[in-house]
Amino acid sequence: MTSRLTGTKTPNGKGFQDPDEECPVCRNTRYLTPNMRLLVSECYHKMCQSCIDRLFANGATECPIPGCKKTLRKISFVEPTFEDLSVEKEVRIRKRLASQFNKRREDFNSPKEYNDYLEMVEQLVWNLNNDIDPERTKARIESFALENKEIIAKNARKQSEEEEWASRVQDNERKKKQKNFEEYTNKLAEEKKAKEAHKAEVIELLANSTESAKLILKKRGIARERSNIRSQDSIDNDNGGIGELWIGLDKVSQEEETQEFDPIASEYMDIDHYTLKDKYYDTYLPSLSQIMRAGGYNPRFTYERSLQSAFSGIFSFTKSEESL
Amino acid sequence: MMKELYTETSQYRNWRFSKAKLLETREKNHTLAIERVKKKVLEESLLQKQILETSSPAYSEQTENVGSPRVNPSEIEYLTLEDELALCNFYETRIPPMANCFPKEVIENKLTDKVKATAITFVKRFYLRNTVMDYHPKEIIVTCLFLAAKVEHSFVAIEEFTKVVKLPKETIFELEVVVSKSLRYEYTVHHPYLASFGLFLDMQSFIKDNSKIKFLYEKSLELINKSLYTDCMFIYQPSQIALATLRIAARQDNFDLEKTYLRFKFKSDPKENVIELYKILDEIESIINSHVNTTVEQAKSIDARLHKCKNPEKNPNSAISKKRRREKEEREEIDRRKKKKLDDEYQKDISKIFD
Repeated sequence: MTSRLTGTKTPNGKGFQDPDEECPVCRNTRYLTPNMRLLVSECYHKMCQSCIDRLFANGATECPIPGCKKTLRKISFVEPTFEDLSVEKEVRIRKRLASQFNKRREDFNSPKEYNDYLEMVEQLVWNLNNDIDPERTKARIESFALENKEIIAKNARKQSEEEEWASRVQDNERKKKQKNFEEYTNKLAEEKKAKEAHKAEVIELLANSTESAKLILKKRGIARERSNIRSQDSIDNDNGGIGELWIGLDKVSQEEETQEFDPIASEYMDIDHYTLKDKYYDTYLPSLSQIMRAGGYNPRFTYERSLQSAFSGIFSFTKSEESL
Repeated sequence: MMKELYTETSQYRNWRFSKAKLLETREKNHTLAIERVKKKVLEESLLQKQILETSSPAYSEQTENVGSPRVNPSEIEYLTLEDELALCNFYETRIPPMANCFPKEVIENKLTDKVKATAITFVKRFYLRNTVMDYHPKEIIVTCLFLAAKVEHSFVAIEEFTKVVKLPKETIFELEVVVSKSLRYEYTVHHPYLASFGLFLDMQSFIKDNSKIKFLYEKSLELINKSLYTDCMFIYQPSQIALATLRIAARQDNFDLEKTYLRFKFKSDPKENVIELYKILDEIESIINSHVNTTVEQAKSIDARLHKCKNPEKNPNSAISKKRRREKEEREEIDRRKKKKLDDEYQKDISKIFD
């Protein structure tokens, strides 16, 4: 606790650092060099920025910590988020795995399968974290990623959609709050103005009227009360919901809208069943004019398109369960 | 397994149904529509009663021109789903004659068979999610033809259009948006015409008699035109419809297409697929052969009944839409007054400075 209180802020302002911290390579302490930056390598060893600059000036070399033989590069050093490096490691492993192992409850048929899957992920995290059987673990992760490529991509898309949705909701809420606040301040200002006007009126009446002061005050007081109530009833009942953002789009089209076009996955099957001839008996297409030829047109294109259209989807059978 | 390109079309993804699903969709839409219209009719009749009871001169004048028929809401006989479909069918068949009223050069260059077919498809798709009680087909077919000409890249100017069809251009513009929304802005329609032309070309590799092929092709185009009035477009692929119509044309001409062409075409395909395809071709054939268009008399009688059960909300002269308008005006009036008051106060504040 004391170290926290006396610690200095990190350069990026993320948290506090221990003043007694030292670089395990050059033994330099923060006490002597207050702006020392300790970074973390891929093998989760700390070292200071100047050591990194010195050691990796000529490209990749082995980790300087005794016993660690990992080849490192300058670029692979990052600023740690957590002081405890074991936490840092586990968080990073989980983050990495989460991008692949993003299956959801609805992807499984039974809770048991889902639980088994979660168990497997935990096992992988544990193995990675403690360097147990690294080769087999890696192979398992890779084979999983390959097998579930589609689900992973789908879930990743879903997640980004949800994030967008959440940010929209937040945005809306913020706007609503701001609006409410503005209305409230406006109302306050109005009320104040009304009060002052009322006061001025009463004073004027008291000065000019021949009626008794008590009577005037009583009468005015009632009127004032009434106006106060009237001003309060204008609380607008807008349901400023998020629903309106998606107006006009039903559930299906909403999903379509966000489906991205993937050029690599979009290769299509060839249409067969036909052979394109050079010449056809044809009395329908307009004869090839000079202008058409200049534009690069050739009747063959039309022929090919027609032939493709004649056989595309010829074996597509709409079953009752798969249709919309 | 790679996809085939046609599976990416909006027609395949969103406008393809099995027979059962198509019926279900229509029935659901129909029951919902009736419920909604019933509610509005009830509201309308209550409003009219109110107007009659308040015998102030300002209102009695209004009751004179309440345009919707005054009937007991419980006595109204609503259209059945069959009535609706029959009425739509009648108006769909009016599209080609309507297009033929245009000047000759417009018909030849702009309002081609493809445009007409697209217009018919739009009408059919539109009434899949709407009801004739809300939007009368006589206006929708005009809008759909106008829209179809644009979609098929043969735009006919609205001035030219309104010269032929008796509908104000404001109505067309207004309905254009309504129709587009119901089509989910998916305008591209794939018709069997192109596929049919492809078959015409492909047959030449197998059959030597060119005049025969030409005859069959032109016959099949006529059948495709007829198929537009059936539900084929919702259930089958354009290529399947084209092949089916070609087969009907051959059968009518006693020409053995099976022996001369089809047998060679699908000899290397899996047997169960070919059997299924023939089943589909038979289905299309029976649908086209058994289809009968609605006659004028039938359409007239349905129209007469439709007049009584139209949605009063869409009638600008009905009490309910008058009320809606009044409410809207009142809201605007309140807004206006509020704004004026604020303005006045502001002016007052300013003038006070100089007092």
